[in-house]
Amino acid sequence: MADFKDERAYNSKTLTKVFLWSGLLLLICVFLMVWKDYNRPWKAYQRQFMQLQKEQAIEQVPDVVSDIDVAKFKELYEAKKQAEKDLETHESEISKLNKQSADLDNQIYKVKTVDYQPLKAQIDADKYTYMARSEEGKDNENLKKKIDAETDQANAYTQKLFELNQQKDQVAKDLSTLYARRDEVAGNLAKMEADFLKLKTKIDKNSFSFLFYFRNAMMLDFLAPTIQIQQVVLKNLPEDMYFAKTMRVDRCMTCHMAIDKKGFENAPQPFRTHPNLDLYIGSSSPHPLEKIGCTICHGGMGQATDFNTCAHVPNDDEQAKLWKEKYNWEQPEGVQSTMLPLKYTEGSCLKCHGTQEQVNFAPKLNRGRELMITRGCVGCHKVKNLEGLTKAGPSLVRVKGKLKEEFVEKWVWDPKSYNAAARMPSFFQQTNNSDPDSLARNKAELHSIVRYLYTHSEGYTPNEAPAGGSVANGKKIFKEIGCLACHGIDDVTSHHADFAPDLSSVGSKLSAAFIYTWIKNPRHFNPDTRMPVLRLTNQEAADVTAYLMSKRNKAFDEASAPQADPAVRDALILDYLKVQFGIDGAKTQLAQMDDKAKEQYLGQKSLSKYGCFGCHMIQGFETAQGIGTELSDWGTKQVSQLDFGTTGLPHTHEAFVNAKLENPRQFDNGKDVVFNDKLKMPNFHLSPEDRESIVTAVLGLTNTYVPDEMTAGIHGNGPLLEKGRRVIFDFNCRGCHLIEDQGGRIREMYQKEGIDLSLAPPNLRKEGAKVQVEWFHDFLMNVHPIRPWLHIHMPSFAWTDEKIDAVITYFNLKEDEQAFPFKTINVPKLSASDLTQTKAMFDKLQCKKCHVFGSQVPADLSTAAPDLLKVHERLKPEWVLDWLKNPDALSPGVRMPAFWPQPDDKSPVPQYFHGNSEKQREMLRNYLFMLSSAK
Amino acid sequence: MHYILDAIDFVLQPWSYFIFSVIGFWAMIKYREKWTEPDFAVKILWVSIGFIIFSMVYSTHFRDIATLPDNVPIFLMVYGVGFFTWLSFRQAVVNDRRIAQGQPPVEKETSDKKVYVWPDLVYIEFIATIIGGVVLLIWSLCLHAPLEEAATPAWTPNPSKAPWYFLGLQEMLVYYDPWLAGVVFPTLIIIGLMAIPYIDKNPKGSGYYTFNERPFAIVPFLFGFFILWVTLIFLGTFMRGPGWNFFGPYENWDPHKVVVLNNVNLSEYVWVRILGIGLPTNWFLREIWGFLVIGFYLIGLPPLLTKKVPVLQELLEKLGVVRYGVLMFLMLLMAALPIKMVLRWVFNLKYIVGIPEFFFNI
Repeated sequence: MADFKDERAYNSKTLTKVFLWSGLLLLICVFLMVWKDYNRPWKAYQRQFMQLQKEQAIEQVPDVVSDIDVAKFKELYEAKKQAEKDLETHESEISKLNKQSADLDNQIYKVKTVDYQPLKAQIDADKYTYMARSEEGKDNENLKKKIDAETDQANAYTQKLFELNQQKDQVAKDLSTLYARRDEVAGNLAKMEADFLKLKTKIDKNSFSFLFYFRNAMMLDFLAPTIQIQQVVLKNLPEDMYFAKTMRVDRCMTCHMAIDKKGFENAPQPFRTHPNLDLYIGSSSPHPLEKIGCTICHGGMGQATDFNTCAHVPNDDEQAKLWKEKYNWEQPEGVQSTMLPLKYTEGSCLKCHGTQEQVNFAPKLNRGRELMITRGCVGCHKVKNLEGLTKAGPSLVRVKGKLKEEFVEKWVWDPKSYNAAARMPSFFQQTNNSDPDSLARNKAELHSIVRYLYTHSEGYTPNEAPAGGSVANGKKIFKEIGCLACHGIDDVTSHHADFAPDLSSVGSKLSAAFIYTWIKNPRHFNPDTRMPVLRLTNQEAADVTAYLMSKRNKAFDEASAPQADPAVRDALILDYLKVQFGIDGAKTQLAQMDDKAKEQYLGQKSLSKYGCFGCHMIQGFETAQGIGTELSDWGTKQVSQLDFGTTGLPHTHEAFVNAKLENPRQFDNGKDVVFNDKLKMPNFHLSPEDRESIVTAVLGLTNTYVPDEMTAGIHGNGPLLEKGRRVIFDFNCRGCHLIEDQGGRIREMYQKEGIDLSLAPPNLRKEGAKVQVEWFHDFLMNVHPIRPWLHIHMPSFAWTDEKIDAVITYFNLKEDEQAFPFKTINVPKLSASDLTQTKAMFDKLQCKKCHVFGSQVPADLSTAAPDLLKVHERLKPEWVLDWLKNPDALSPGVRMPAFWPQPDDKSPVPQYFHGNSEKQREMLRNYLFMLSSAK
Repeated sequence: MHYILDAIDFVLQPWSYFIFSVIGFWAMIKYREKWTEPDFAVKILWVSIGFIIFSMVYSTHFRDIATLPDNVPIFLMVYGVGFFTWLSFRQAVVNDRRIAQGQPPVEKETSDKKVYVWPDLVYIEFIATIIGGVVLLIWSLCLHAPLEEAATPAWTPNPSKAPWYFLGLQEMLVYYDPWLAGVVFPTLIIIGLMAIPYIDKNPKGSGYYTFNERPFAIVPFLFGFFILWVTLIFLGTFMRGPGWNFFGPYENWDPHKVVVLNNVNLSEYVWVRILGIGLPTNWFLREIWGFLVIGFYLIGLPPLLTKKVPVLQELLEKLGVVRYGVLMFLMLLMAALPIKMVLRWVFNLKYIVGIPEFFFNI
């Protein structure tokens, strides 16, 4: 309060004190502000990394120094000294030459800049004036003369310059002759020191010198700091800011400084090298850092440089705990993109590789996508690029002729009670519908569904199965012939395929006649089935039938089917009718229905409700749309749009999908939901690994904008390759074969049971380069064994021309071979003398010891190699050369010996063709092609 | 302890919050002699701080909301408004006592003295600038700017809140259409504030604080400022959550919360519920009752009130017709907000006039 002493409102001394202190406070705050701006966490990381690099370099010094040959180094050092001494004797000559050189430089400078350049400028100006005057129609004669004179002068200068330069070159040459010896020695010395000097530079560069502190000092670091933000700017992968696309800027390497540097594989984070530089980040990898960056795969906020604002997301709870302690980590919120937990990173491949059937080097993602197709996820949920595929479950169009009604009711009521490995998910007896009321209603629904299916089913009568058949033999055939590539069965534990139904209890499901007919010809029952024919004899088929019929589930057989209560059924129907007709109308309608009509009505409604047609072909539902949420960009859906209900899960995408897959109905917990509004997604009983794969595949479904030029599989041959890959997936070729080095799943059994892998189905690496197109086509049209003595059979697929075409095109294009038009096979015939030598060589190499040769077969047929007489019609000549040279590269683990061991390419039979390996292989190849055609 | 929190959540509803505010306001005016005593005021201060600490300790939700960088100004506002109100009332109470005893107001003692602009004014202004700068710097050093994610047309943040100082306006949007709550009322607030010097002819209270000499100027102003602005900001900050639903201060903001919102137009009340006939198709006929009500409120009510209320009669004589008319108009519009609020809570009234045909809703 003003005291008004001495006509002053305030005591000036007090005011001055207040002013002093507040001023000081402001100064301190300004300092704090500058300090806070200066003191960024990433700077500390960069300093730490310098230290790390320096330490690493220092560690390497002894190694590098020990590599240096000290005696030689000394010798060279002495030689250099001597050479320099020798030079002193030529001192006068050198100084003369140096003087000459300087003199010439002066002259050149004068002629070039003083004489020539101004004249040239004058000529250009005059030429312009000439043009301008002639445009105006003025007389140009004098000007023309002037230009000519000037041009002559300019040419003279050019000539002079040329001469001077020549003289200078001569002087330089003379000088270098004199210095030659010293330069050579010095050069060698430098070479010896090079590695060491490089290290020294590295150490110096990473030392904290005065200059370092000066350049990076507070307030001075705007000049030329060495500690600075590192970033890549990605023009081709813009960030979609909704109203505009901005360039993606990734600054991750500001802290992750060693991400593209080899040698920090075991360094502590954030200084660890990327674990796969050949595939990512490396400049020669397919995903170079400067083109792909980091966040397009890992997610997160690329521009941020602070641990939390980057939106780091831990891989598991353990890491979360660690991060909380170390970085004060919090679940990122309100950011555009959070990082994908490391275990789900493969999902990001879909951003660019989404149109591809398989993504190489992404096994988890591929498995997830495969499960989404084979388990029927995409039957209900629309997913971009996974539309219009073969339905996951069997067609029910002829179910009447295949299954008993009672079986179907028991099966759908609880698929796991029939077979623990059943792929059919459980709709009933789940957490949200196990109360007595729901159970009764579910039973009524199920009964009506089955009645509907049987009413809308075509009839079918299988052929009679022959009586008898050996279970033991059937079991052997089943295991050996290749059934296990797609089907699982509990008798075999070394391998369990889940591409086709598990057959452990199939005897409780099907009749012997059906199985027999089905094995002999699956298309007899279902013309569209993917099941191939294994070309079994009647006896073999009967044996397999006997074996499969022996596979029964007793408990399931004895259990009774759920009993539906007609009253409950009527109540359910009334609920549906009410909406359309009102309660009285509904009652009238219901009264007019007989039992059959009621069953049909409720069956149809229930099939629609549960979306059974998503996986099964059902009459009356041919065009129905899947009932699930579209998942095409689910990974970028807002978390707040997901209803976590009372689950208490962390609010993240990954937790949501995982929980949804683990127990889809738990989201109904603690809610009061009307019967028909209860969650309907069935329980798939997936293993944690399978769940993780599916989560990976679902998190990868985003709406991230990727321009066409960055999208894989749509350029050039891409679409054609994908078409082939789709067929390969649909028919599970990878169940047996390794294709693009992926798959060959049945090999697991060979490995576990110790069977020779060369007896397994072949690796189809370079198949397109290997076999002739005509042969390939004939083979797929009419499969015949190449190695008939193998137990496992290549099955006969009833493929359309389109599918065969797609597969052949795929294999050929993959090897950059043109499938169509056909290529002429042109192998020169051997001359008589060459033929003699080649035959001798052929015998010497003992080819027939393993290979079948027409009617001549090797002693041990069980491990024999393909018939050499068929080479000419089957193989491509270029491939045969490659094969002979290095069989292991084309088919790893193959039994074919490498006669010409690589990389030395030393001939095992030097007596032929002067030991020229190349020539030998060519002759052998020509012989094989000739030999067969001579037959 | 959660029983207390749950009880507070249960008790606090939009209408009870409003009633508590009004009671508090009434008590503030009525017991000004008491709470302006410094000792008593300090007690209030401690109670309020204790309450905040209690809330922060026992409710993680409250703590999360209260410690958002966005909401720091709310506390500054609450305590700033509280302190300056106390200061002015304190001086007013002291002066009123002196006036009652026939003494001049405190300000009189120094009002005839003069001081120099330099250094007395300029110096302290300069110091104030420096201290203001220090406060802002410390603030910005300690708290990050509350930036949100990039805007997307496909997904608006939920709740979508205006800057804190506009939350009072946003609360009005619950009860009135945007053209009224967002355009007309804010404009009228500014016009009203501008009009005060021309309407207020009372020469008393000029240059000194007093309450008794100008209660009619102070009470409506503070009602508008406290009840219709400051407390609504507080409500908007702590009690409006996702979906603009009302949440207790300790209630978790569940975006999936579902509440009953069966609001009914006046036309439906009259035509359907009272008269028992359907809504007329012609919009004018349909909304005729609303027009009548509005017409009565703005045109019929002022003369009626003036006639019936002697205080207003006096006021009319004092101010003259034009000033009085403007004052009444502004006052009635200010009152329109609480009236509509009450109508909403009591009758679920949605619109008095509701013409969706051309977006004219009152």
